[in-house]
This record gives sequence, C-alpha cells and structure tokens, in this order.
Amino acid sequence: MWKNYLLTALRTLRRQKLYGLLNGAGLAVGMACCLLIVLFIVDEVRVDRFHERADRIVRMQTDFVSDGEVDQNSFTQGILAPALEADLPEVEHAIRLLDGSAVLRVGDIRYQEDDLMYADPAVFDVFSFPLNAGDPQTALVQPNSVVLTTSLAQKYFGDADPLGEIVMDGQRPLTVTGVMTDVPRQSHLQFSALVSLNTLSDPGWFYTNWFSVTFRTYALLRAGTDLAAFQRKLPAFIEQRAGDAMREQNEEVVVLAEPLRDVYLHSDRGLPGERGNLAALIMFGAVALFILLIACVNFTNLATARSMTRAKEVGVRKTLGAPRTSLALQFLAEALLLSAASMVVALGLVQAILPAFNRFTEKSVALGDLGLGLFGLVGLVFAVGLLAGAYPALMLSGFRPVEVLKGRFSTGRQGRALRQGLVVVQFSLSVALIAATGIVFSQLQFMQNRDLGFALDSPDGQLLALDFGGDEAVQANLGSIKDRFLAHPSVTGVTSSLTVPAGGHAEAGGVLERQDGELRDFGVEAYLVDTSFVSVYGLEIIAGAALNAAATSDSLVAYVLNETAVRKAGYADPAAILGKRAQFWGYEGEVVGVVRDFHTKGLQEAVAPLAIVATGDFQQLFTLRVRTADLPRTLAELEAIWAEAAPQRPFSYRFLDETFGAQYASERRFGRLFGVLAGLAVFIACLGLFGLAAFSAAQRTKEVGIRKVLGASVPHLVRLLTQDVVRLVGLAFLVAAPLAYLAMDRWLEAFAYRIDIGPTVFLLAGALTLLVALATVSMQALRAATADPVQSLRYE
Amino acid sequence: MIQTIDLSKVYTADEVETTALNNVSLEIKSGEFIAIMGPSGCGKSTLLNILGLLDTPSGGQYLFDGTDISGYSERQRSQLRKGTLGFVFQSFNLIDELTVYENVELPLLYLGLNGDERKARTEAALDRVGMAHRRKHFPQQLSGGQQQRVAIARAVVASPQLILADEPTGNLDSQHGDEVMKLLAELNEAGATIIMVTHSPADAEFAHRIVYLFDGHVVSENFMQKEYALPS
Repeated sequence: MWKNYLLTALRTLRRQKLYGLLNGAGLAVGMACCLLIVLFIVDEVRVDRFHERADRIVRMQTDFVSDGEVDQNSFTQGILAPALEADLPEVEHAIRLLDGSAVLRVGDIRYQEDDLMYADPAVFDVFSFPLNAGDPQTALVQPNSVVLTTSLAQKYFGDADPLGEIVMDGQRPLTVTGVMTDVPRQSHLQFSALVSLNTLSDPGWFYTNWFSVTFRTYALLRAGTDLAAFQRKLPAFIEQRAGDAMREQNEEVVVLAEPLRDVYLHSDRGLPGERGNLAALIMFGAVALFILLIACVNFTNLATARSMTRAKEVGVRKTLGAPRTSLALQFLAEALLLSAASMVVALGLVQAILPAFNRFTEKSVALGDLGLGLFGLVGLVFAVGLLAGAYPALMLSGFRPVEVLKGRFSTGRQGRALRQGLVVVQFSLSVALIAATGIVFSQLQFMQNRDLGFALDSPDGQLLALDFGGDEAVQANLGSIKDRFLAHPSVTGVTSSLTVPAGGHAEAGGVLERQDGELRDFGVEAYLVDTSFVSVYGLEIIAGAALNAAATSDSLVAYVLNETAVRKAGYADPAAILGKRAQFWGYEGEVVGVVRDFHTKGLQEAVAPLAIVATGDFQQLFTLRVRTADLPRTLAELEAIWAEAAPQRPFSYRFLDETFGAQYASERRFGRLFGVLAGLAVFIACLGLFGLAAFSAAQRTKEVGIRKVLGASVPHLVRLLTQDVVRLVGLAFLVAAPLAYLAMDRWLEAFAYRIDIGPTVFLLAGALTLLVALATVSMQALRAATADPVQSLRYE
Repeated sequence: MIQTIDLSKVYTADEVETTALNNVSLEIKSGEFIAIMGPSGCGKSTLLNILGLLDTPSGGQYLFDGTDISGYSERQRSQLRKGTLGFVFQSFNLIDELTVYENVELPLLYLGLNGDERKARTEAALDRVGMAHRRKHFPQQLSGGQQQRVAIARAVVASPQLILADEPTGNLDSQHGDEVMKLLAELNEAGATIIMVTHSPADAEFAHRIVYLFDGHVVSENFMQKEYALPS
C-alpha cells in the first residue's frame, strides 16, 4: 500500500512540476534559514558549557548599597576569593582574574597585548583550559610566570619550544611556564595569556579592602552543593568578614554568586567579558519559525487550491473502498515526502552558505554543531510535513465520491477563505519584517548622524587617539611630545587624557558643593585630561571658561562639568555652579566651567554626569586632530615622530569616528540579518502567491473568456485578476503595522537616544510588499487576460 | 439480493428542494442484469449512487441481502463497498498517476490481500478484458474503449457480487461500446449481478429487465421477452 502511495506521490510531483518546485523551493529555503538560525542559537547557548565542571562554577558579584541606591558590579574585591575559600566549606577553589594589557618584548620585537589576564594558580582547577606544555598545578605558582595560548606562543616563538623562554614586560622578565590551547570561541572569558597574579605588587588595597572592586572572582563549588543554599549563606559570610567596615563606611556590601551557565546570556550585568543578547536570540528564533511557517502555508495553500486535480483520484479510491484514514495518510505521506526532499536540499544549501554565514556572524559553526543529529532532522521533517500537510489531507480525504466523480464539485471554492487568511498571515509577516529592518537602519542612521556634542570631524581634521598605555616615560614628557606632534603641519591640535569617547570610561565617586553650600556625595564619569582637551575636542562652553593654566590656582585643580552633572547637582542655571568646590579621586578643586553635554558612549546609553579634571595625571592616550589630506604620508611621519619620542611604545592609533561607529556593530549586524530574513520571507511568500495566481488564473479562464466576449478590455481583466492581491496585502498591512510598531518600539527602548517611529516606514514596507506581490501575479493575470476566448470557452 | 422500499432522495440547496427520487421500490435478484433508463434528470444516477452505497437515501429502506443498510455510516458503507461492489463509470475514472496494472490492483490493496494473490487476480482480470499486454501503460496512453476495459477489469478484480455501471458506453464510439457491452454480458453470464444506467436502447437490449424512471418515479418495468443469448 505504501508503495502505491509513494508511486502516486512521485508521479503527481513529476506531472505537476511547477507546483512541486514552488513548494519544494519554499520549504527548502525556509528550512535552510531555520537550520542556520538554530545553529546560531545553539552556538550562543553553548557558551561556557565546555568547562568540565561548568555546572559547579559560579561567578561572584558585588553590589554596594548606600542611601538606598544600589551600585551593581561584576567585579569583585581581591580579598573575596581567599575569604570564600577559607570560610565556606562548599568552596573547593576560588580564583581571581585581573584584566591587563602590556607591551611585551621578545628579543627585540615589541608586541602590544591588550588581552592579558593575571590569574591565581588554581585557575586550571576551576576552568578546563588544557595545557599542551607545562604543569597546570605549578604553572602560575611562582611570580613572573606566564602561560601563553598556542597562537601567542606561535606568534612569539614560531615552532620552537617556548617553555622556559623569557618574555619581557617592561623591565620585568616573565618566564613561560606553560602553553595552553587557545580559549574556545564559546567562552565569555577571552584572553591571550595568563600571568601569575602574584607578579603584581600589591598597592596596599588589592587584597584587604572590601570597597574596591577590580578583580573577577570565580568559585568552584564542591560536587553536590546546593547553589540556593550556598547563596543564602553569603550574607552571613560577608557580615562576619566585613560587618564592622560596612558600618564604619555607612555602605553595605552584598556578595552574590551567579551560575557560570547564566553569565553569557542571562546575566543582567554588563562587564566583564563577552555577552550574548538573549532578546535578539528569541527574536531570531521567532523569525525562523515565521519563515518556516510561511513555507508551510505555501504548501497548504497550493495543495488545497489544487485539490480539484486530486478530487477524481479521491473519488475513485473511495469508491473502491478506501477508508478516509487511508486517504488522509496517503496525502500526509506526500507532504512528508516533499518535506524530506526539501530537507535534503536545505542541508545542501546550509553547507553552501555556512562560510558566508560564519563571516557574517563572526562565528565558526558547522552542520555537525546542530546537536539534534539525525533524530532532530527527522523530527523537523515530520513537524513540517504534518504542519503543512495536515489540513490538505483532512480536506482532500473528506471529498464525497458522488460529488467529485460527477463533476458537481465547486472547484477551488473549498477553503478559499482559509487560503486568503493564510496569505494575509504570510504578508503580514513580510511587511512586519521589512518595516522592522527599515526601523533598525533608521535608528542606525540616526545614531551615526547625531551631533555628538564634540567634533569627530571638523575643517581642522579628524580625531586620532594614540594609546601609550600610561607609559611612565611618556607621562614624564607629555609636554615635549605634544610639541613635537604640533610641529607637524597636518596636526592642528594635541591633547592627552585618561580615557577618550568610545574608549572605556572611569567612574569616580567624590563630593560636590550644592546650592546650600554643603559638600555632598556625587558620582561622575571622570575625564583626567590636560588643559587643551576642551579646545581640541571642540566642546562647547556654556558657562565659565575652558580649562587653561590661568583658571587654576596653585592649590586647586580646575573642574569643568557637563550640563547633566550640573542639573543632577540641583543647579538650574549653569552659571550658578561656577566657583563651587568639588573633590573627586582626591583632587580638590573648583568648578570653572560648564560644557554642553557630549556623548562619551554609544547612543544606546544616556549622557551621564561628567567631570573634566585638568590634572594631567594618569594619562593613557594622546588625541591628535589631524588633517586628512594625504593621510598615509601624514601617518607615516607621525609614526616616525613617535618612534623617536617613545621608542619603547608601538604606534597604536585609531580614528575616533571608527571606534565610535564600531559601537553600533551589533546593531548593524542585527539590521543586516533582519534584512536578509525579511527578503527571504517575502521571497517564499511570493513563491506561494505565484502558484496561487497561476492556479486562480487557470480557474477563471472561463470567466475571463465570457467577459472578453462581452467586451471587457485587457486592463480591466488584469485589474479583475489582481484586485484580490491588493486587498490581501492591504489587510496584511493593517495586521502588520501595529504589531511591528509595538515590537520595534520595545527594541528602541534599549537606546537612550532613539527615533520616533513614524508612519512612513510602514507605508514603504507595505508599498514594497504590494509591488513585489503585484509583480508576482500580474504576469499570470496578463497571460489569462490576453488569451484567445475561443480557447477558454471551447470546453464545457 | 437487493430490495428498496419507498426509497426517496431530496436535495436541498439554498431553500430550494429538489426531489430526485420519489418512493422507488425495486427488487433485484442475484444474477440479474438490470438497465435503468429515462430522460436526463429523472434520477437514474441518484438511484445508482444509492444502490452503489456512494450516497444515502433521504427516506425509505434499502435492504442488501436482507439487511437494511439505509442508515449505514460512511465507514460502514465503505466497508461493505470494498469487495462486494464494483463500479464502471461513463468517464472511466482511472487514476492518471497509476499504470493499468496498478489501477486494477488498487481494490485488492484496499482489501488487504497479499502480493501473490494480488498479482494472480490482477493478471486474471486483465486477461479477461484483453488488456494484459498493456499492463505497464498509463491511462492517457490508451483509447477510450481500452480505458473502459481496464475500468471493468478493476470493477471485477475483487469478484464483487454486484457491478454498477453508469453509462459505460457513453463516452465511446459504437464499436468500442459494443465490445464493452459484450464484456459486461459475459460477466453477467459468469454470475455477476449488474445494474446499469444507460441512455442507449441498444445497450439496454443486453439487460434482462429495463426499469424506466421519470421525475423520480418508476414508471414501468419491462422484462425482456427473449432470453439473452450471445449474438453471433
């Protein structure tokens, strides 16, 4: 019997090639799309799962609570790890990691390494980072030890055995004690080398202070530990250790433990480490399902529309005694067969697309990562086959033989409302996806075009940041190096600072004088700069003066605040804060000026209170304003100046407009991916529409013939045959617009500075969809309308 | 074998009632060859469909081998159709996607017979209608008369007690029509009961008895005077 079903199915497909092709292509593309998104999601979900003891590892976090305000951190105190290990028996190991960067010298070659980490020796007991050489038990025990990743070892020493070799960190020799395999991509911890933590000299507060958080702390809990119970013990632990200090400081310290498996996707804290975007994953998952749904709808629609071609067969089989279940099974089997064939094509497609996909998503996934194995794929084939084929099977098997065999069967009327409803669903999804894509790109454009409050680009040139990593020799000669740069004709300004916009930031707590004359706690983003900072960046002074040497007395440093800081401190008039006292990071000073708000971070984040402190201390980078005419030559000459001024430092520069733009990389990727998915959705929906249009045109041949005989013109007939599509897309637009609006409004909530969604983007999306849909059906309509009426009326 | 008592069928469409059959009482004995005649729209096909269990009556009784089956569900009717009844249609109704052989084999598949028996019976049925040499052809590759012979082979392959033929020669020229009628007559000779709807008086000549329908009523029953004999 199954052989008979199979034969019928194969021969039906062979005879109705267009139908099979439309359905198969739609399903295959839909499945391929779905598989790729599943691969993406699986890859994200697997982050950090490669550690053998992943289920027992927790990341510690510290919150500070004072005056009811909670300051959340994923960085922790240096004292936390040893204290946990000593006090809590559940803790098998607790280790600290500290992010670092250094210029490392091997022989005569210098390398700027920004991804170093200082680590406790037990790091290899907690995490599964296998060593290819060296002993994990002892590698990081001695000061001045370094474990290189394979790729760094390769970079430094080629194929030579690196064990025991020396890497110079400034004046300090580091001995290579191990080589570990590179950190897998699926890890929220990313580093290129581990240096023994005791290499660093303790500045005094590293390992005792409960109010300074610099380290990442991870703990390996003993097997069988109940995480919730462990978490409940933490308040008592911290009270015993730091209770007195908390009362003295009038600040509460809260220590929390977060399971490692939650860190990447579920943590509500930003730094440190790579973070995934759960909301985006859910959105992509939903879109994958949508696209598959659209493909399934095609199948259902075409199968029911073409039901009359199968009606006779149903009638005959029933007359011969076939029960309904047998017929339903037969049609389901056909759907499954097509689904299986589509899956084979989809797998081929995925294999072909994977390299591009990996470049696009910056991943390296392979089909084997699906993890579902054969079982999952078969499951998907069945799910799709059932979803797509259930309704047609039910409908076809329900035909009454008397009616279908007598031709007393109103062809195509069957399930017409359902088909139109499904088409509306398809095009709603298409319109919504197109509109969403448009909104993502509008927001991107908005962010890129927004006035940042400082001039990335001006007639005087672009801003270029030159990182010298706080090098002491450079710090000691800031003035003379600035002068050397300024002597270059293309350099129109030079300043130095601790941080630059889009390049990390420093939070500072301190006090600020309020209108009542009292000094009260205040938190700011601190910019330690030299006096030319305001002018080189082109910040706009709205009260007081820019920083210059004259503005400060000997004992006080000059503070320039931004508008937000002034407002938050309770001053309505910026001028009122001039001359008020301020003290951050121990620098006593007074406010000499107020600048218009400028963006130091991407537009996802609101401008925070900010203090520019003209101390010239702790400088990390120069910022040069450089004319861009003949840039390669200018850069070469600047590099030569740098090599002379600071031979110990690499010429490590970046243009600020690039780093600022890079903050939107994930949004841009999101938008592009959405664009591709929207295109696919429209494509698949149009495949189905094409099939339906061909069918409907064929069905209405007689009607068209009669109308022509009665004098209808071709344009009139084309309009007649396409007006349904206009109506359906219109309906889809009405469904899609509010849904897309709500979803995208939520997406935009993540941005502190965002566009308002206007009607234009929806109208454009609707118009685009309508245009594509009309183009799809009008060819069929035209063919039907121009056919010879004698041909169409000859039958019946 | 078959007895109908006051059988009636009323179609209701958009508040218009059409009476297709009105109190039709008939008795058909095993081994009979009955022709049903009458003008278009008189209810011939409706009667045949009800007798063939493809349709249900609105009123009256339908006794099949003494059992009243007028209230049977679709499932029960389908069960009874299978193996008991064979159908021959005016438009042949062969499945285009199946070969001659596969079309004839189909009823046996639904009966659940095993492969060897299916093969033997299918070959025998094809031989009987002289279509064995075309077993691998598809219906579209055959003439109308050939298609109808295949359809007859399909109707008899499961050795049904009753064969229902709805204008079996309606789509055929006279020569092919004659061949088909002779085939039906042979089957009847061999013991099959046949009920045939026809417009053609010549075809009706093959029957033992002609039932005339007019506006849903049986208006006369005409027993053929002479015993049927094979024409030379």
